[in-house]
Amino acid sequence: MAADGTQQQQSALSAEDPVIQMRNAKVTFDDGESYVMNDISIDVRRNEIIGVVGESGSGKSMFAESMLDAIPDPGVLTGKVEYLAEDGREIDVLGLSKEDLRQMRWEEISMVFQGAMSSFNPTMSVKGHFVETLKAHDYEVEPGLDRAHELLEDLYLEPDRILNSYPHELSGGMQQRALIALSLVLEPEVLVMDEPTAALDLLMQRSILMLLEELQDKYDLTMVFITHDLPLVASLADRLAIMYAFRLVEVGPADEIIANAAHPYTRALLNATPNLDAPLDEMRPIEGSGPAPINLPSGCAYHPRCPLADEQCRSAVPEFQQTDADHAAACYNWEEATDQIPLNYEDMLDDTATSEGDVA
Amino acid sequence: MSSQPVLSLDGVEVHFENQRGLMGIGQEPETVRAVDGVTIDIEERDVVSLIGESGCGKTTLGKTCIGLQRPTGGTVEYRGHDMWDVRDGKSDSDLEWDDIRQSLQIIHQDPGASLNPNRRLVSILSEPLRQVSPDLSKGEKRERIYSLLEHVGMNPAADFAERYPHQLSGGEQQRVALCRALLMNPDVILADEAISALDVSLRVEMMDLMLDLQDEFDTSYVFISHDLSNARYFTEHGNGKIGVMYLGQLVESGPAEQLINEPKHPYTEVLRWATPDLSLEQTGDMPMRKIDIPDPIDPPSGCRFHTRCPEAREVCKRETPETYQINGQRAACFRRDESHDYWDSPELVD
Repeated sequence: MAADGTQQQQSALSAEDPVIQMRNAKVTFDDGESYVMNDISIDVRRNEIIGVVGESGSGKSMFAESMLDAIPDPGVLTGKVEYLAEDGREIDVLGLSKEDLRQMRWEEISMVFQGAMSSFNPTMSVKGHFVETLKAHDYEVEPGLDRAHELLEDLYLEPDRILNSYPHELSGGMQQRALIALSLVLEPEVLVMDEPTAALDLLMQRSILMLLEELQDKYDLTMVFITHDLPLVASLADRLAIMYAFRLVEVGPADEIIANAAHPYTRALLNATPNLDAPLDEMRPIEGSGPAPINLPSGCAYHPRCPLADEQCRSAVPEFQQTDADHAAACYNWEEATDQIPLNYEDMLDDTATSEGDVA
Repeated sequence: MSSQPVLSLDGVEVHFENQRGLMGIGQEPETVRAVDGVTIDIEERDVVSLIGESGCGKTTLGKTCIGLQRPTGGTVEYRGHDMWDVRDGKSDSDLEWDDIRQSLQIIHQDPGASLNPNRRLVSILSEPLRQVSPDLSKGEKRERIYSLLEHVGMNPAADFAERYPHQLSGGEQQRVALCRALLMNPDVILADEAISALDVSLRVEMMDLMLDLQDEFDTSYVFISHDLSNARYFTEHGNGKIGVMYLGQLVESGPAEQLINEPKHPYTEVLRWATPDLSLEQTGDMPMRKIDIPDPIDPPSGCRFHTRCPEAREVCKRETPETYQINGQRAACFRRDESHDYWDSPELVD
């Protein structure tokens, strides 16, 4: 168990070939009185898809924005965020000048937000957006537009029609896909997406996820997918990171978290999620509600809602504990969680998906 | 009277005329066929879930059910009387239009936008009581409001009643919207994506609350969702049925569990594929040929799903399938008719 959480990182949270390293990253809006993202240390591995899951107000958007040092004012981000490019450059994201940061965004790490319409300029055609982006980063326009064509085709769009349209002429699903194409036109290594599909219907969400998987494969991308929807991202992500009350509480391979979630919150979240397989009578809401950033519960912030909470949980914030080779949870009582909080879809799980098969 | 449905829709059509811009003067206006030939009944204490993609007409159909949208074709009957005849004074029944509208309520997706930000909850919730029971004293009204707020888990009620909507969380706002609808003693509540904006972990709770209050207030729900797993939970617990819509038409309907486990229409299978589940099985390829839904202004000929359907054959392009009955399910697909020409028809190639 790491005492200070800085150097001795556990293996689920660190990696041999990381692309982004976060260490003790914290965000405060009132000079350290309270944190809307607290003490997050994790490595994003090269070419993985990591799903970051949390409810409204759990700090997950701060997590996304931290990677680009894009916390809105007057938020203050402290700690360390390092970007390790494939060519060996090590970039301290928080130490970059404004100009360097501007260049790094889109060229190395790009970001897609929920609601494409608010990311597009309504008075400019889609092609205009591509041209402007290419010019702003001193890329050649012609080869850039060729890439745009290819990307749009990859996303099952008709390139010429889309490029000559204005954003409002496209459906929500087309806008969001055009935005994804735009975010990839400068060939970034990392794509950070904050609820990229939340405003769309389920069929379009699912279709976009399928396309993202193809894009990741084709362009060797690293993807960070932020969402409140655990089952949605579970089908796409290699690993999941679960956030609760501004901290990470569990990190592990997606299928292992589904089959063997270690943190009581993750288990409760899985049981609370309507799905097509679980017996209906066993779906249960999580009692109580998530805490606000001021007056956080002492110790483990989940303890007031947790059936396993004891004295220890009330007094000190639990460190991450390795529950399996590549799986860690910040809970003192994770060993009891499996028995005490059964998953309501357990009978449905594929036998092959249990832990043994997944230890890398 | 008891076996009569509360609402009965027969061949309902809602077509919107879309005027062309200045350049289009003199041309025929475009017609958006938002709802096209839907027949469905809503019984007492029923749950009818409408699911489908954005733009499939589920909200328009829902609004037509509760008299917020006048159909351009077909009839909508409220307890056996054509509600639009009542509205126009052409009905021989003694029903009043206001009474019909009062008994058909709605809760929206965004509760924050549907509550007046300048009024306290007690004043928001007094409004329906003033309509329904004008004789209640101020104290009695307060008492009923408090007991309902407590019932929906907003304790202490006296404290909540004095708050403004912005002082509530999204889940609490939605519960207030539900209370407001229920205080009208409605026969039917249209819940239009009412839980979609809530956190995943709060959805089950909200659905449980709605079902719990259904028993108490004897209402039916028309539940609109794009999420099959929510519709499954709500419909199965409410003993109702799910209707699957595609480009304005009802392509399949039936009891929740049956429809999900044995879909009879290829489009229902697509929705099943799109619904994330936790079973860790590989979901496989997309059971659909195109990602984007066709333009409802110019819907495809024949079966409207033929442009995306993986099973489509030539005949689907030409002929419109009728609705087949299969063990309590209804599906509009030729594949449900073993002797249909479909089986000899060549496959469609893109």
